[in-house]
Amino acid sequence: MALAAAAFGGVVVFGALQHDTGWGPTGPGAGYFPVRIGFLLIGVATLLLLREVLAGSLARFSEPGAMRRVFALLLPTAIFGAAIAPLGAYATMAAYLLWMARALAKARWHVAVLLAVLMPLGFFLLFETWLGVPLAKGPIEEALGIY
Amino acid sequence: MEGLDALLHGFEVALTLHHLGLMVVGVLIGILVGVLPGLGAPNGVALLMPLTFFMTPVSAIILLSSMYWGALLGGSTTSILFNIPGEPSSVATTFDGHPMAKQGRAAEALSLAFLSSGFGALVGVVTITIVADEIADFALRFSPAEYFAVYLLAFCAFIGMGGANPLKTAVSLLVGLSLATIGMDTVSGEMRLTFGQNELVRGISFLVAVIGLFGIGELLATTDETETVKGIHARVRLSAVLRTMAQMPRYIVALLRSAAIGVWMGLTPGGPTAASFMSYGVARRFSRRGDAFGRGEPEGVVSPETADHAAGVSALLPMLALGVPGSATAAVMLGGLMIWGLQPGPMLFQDRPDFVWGLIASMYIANIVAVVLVLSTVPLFASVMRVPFGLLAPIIMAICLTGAWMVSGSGFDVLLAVGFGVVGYLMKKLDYPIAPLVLAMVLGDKAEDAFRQSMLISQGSLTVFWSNWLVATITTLALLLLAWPILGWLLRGGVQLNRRPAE
Amino acid sequence: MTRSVVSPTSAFAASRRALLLGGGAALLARPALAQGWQPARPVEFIVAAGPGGGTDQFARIVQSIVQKHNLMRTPIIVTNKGGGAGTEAFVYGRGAAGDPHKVVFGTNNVWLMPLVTRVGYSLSDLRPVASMAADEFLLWTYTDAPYRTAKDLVEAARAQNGAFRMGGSQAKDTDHILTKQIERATGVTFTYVPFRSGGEVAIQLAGKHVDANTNNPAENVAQWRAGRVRPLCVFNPQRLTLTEKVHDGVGWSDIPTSTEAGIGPADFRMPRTVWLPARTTDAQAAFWTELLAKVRQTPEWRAWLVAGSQGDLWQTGAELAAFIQQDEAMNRANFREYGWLAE
Repeated sequence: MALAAAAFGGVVVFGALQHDTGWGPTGPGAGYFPVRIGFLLIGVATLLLLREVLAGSLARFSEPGAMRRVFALLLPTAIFGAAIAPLGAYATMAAYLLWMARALAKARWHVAVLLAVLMPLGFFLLFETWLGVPLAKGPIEEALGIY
Repeated sequence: MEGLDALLHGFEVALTLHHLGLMVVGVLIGILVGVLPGLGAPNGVALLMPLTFFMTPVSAIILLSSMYWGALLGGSTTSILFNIPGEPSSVATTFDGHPMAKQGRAAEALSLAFLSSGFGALVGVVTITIVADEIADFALRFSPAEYFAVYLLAFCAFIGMGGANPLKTAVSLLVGLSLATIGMDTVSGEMRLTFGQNELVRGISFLVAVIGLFGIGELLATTDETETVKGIHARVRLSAVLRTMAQMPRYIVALLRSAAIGVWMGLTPGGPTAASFMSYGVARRFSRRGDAFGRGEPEGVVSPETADHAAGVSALLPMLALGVPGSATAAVMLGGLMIWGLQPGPMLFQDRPDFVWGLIASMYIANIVAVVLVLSTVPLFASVMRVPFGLLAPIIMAICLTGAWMVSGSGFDVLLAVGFGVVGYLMKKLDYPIAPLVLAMVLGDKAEDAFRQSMLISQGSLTVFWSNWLVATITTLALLLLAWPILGWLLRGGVQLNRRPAE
Repeated sequence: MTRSVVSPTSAFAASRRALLLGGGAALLARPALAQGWQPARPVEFIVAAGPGGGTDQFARIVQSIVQKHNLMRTPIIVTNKGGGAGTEAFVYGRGAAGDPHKVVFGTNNVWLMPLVTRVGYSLSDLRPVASMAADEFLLWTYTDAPYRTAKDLVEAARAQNGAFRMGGSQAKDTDHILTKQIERATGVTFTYVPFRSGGEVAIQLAGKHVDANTNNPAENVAQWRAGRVRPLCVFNPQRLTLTEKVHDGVGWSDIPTSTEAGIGPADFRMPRTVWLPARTTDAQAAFWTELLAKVRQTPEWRAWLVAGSQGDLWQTGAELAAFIQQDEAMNRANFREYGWLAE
């Protein structure tokens, strides 16, 4: 984590160097604060890293069982998230809920199917027809003639 | 008294059956949009706007402002139940509200939140009733230097509260500040840290970050912690609401202090978000139960909620008096005002007293209506917690990702929310505080703008922050709050040093 | 996403049909209506600004007029994409190439933004439909400021040697450009202080935290009526026509023009523009032009123009395209001089 923070600090410094980083006659330039924030971030993160290395607390993070549970939730969600833009929100949501209800909650089939049908439908009625907020549409929605 | 007459006349305007009906409708719609993350009050107001073209301006503003109160309360609901702040200003409510819900005290936490909101709102509206005439003049005193001082005060009050590892707090804060600079820079007009990516031009949306860090991150962390995936068995009865109501007087100190902070931040340009953070920080510092904060302490719910609503209510008046919106919601309402043929500004109070005082009177009534309505939903919402986690988690995930999409209709934001979810999970796991990151994202770029504008105005002289009593007081107070831990440490002769050995 | 519904009656559209038809569009072809193209599904109005403010009102007033007068059968959704000073909306417009159901509402920032910063679209990604109004710019100062006329103000600024504070909304945007043009015309230098919105600038001037601003009438009128700020001149060759007295017996038509006042550019206005994505057909653009022309005739539209003291500026087609080209070239030359051009 500290390493990632330091790396992020590096990116910030790099991005900020493209702007005026000085303190002009009328105050700081566009890059003045970002560049200092970036350097500070690198410094603080390195300090943290050093302390963790010295304390030898790097090894333990999480028990394997917990990691597996986290990934069982995270991976399908990430795939769902990535699929929303190209494939549309409704079909992907139904598939995601179906999978999760079966795999994670070990729900019975009829519960899972009910959830996977009702929730996208509810979302459609609520957002598209009533609130007028468009959700992502993909080829499946197009084929059904839903805009 | 002239103001009292005007207010009574306002009640005549607001207390018609038609307007009461509009309040109920507005509040209900507000609760709904507030509960759905990504669909905040600004959307709700924008959606209702076309309807208002067929109403009188008073009816229209009553509908819209009622919706706003409902949305604020709905935002607190999701903060407590799912750790997803529906509105930026309810972030601080998650700190103790969600732990309470996880302990099976969801009904208590919700009732506490709503009741203290109601209290804050009433203090706010009473204040603006009293100071309505002077408000515009006071608000005009705020130049960028004063803005900066107010932001600094909110920062210092919250950061100075201590608690977490200072190095980790610093990392969180600095990451937040960096994220806040992404996008177009107001002062130079340059695109910063976008690396030529179109998706980054609009900046990192605060809502997307919060949906990820809090909502998704919390779900991942819960999965990590619990072996058994079952719901929390909370007994939910209306009696819990009543019991909480009876407990309210116990928190009178917190209520009064938070309301004062909220009103102050609402009248100055700090706004509700800064108010709730500041109130939480101050409560944690000065409360006798300060050590229990963050682990489900009722006072940690009362303080930010009271301040949030006190600020939300009292911020509405400067908006009308100056014509400058303090939030996105207010901006849409202002736009509406002009479409209805009203001119927001100092003259509105003279030109259309029926409108202004009708609105103020409606704020008394609508807030009571809102609290009653939302209290009646407590059993319903609290019972959501009984759905098995394995089933609830994907449902909340779907709502979170849909919310992230709705922020600006972009697939990139959805992935960003998932990414923030992972970061939020890791931060929780490794004891990095998330709140400083969020606060820095909210106030960071505003503070930077105000600072650089002050420098332009003062030709680069830092003395501008002590140039008159107003700005000097705020700046000094902020620095005192920041230095408080050091001062306290000096006073107690460094006893604390022995109590906390290096980790 | 390239998709379009074209009417068989339009020969021109038909010739492009092969190019434009994508996805399942053929499924959607409905019986041709009496004339030209009609929207076949909900239309999205994209506002190149955040909620509130002039551009947002512009889109929402058009939406409300279309709905109130039943000018169109399909519903309209208004979305705000104000990121990056509006560029977010134009990038979105680029992504919707060929889709006539996306209408972008902006100002002259469509062609000015690509000059000053790196943006993800170019002017050719959007097709101008109409310019519907022109927002005026005035020079304002606070009421008890020592200068009575614009000339006084300029001389005072000259004496202050650059320390004179001019407030405006955003950097390198219209207010900043106008400030630069005044500087060039008069030879003085100002300290330009950018804020987030015109409303904020109005308050800063009323609170005497800046010395002057170049706000639009709608942004400052409330403070003028309250007697906190007063106008010095208008950047228009003709005086404003509204005779209503605003404060202390002075009204819009009493404000001298910048030429009369002897300072700055004679003509500086900001057009409010409507755009379609590129690769839409002439028939589709014609539909929107006709619709907007009808909107223009309504009393609600007139009332909105008057409420904001905006000028009536109706330009379409070739005339509009020529205007944009000319304005872009002029600003490009100026920006090069200021060192603003993004390379």
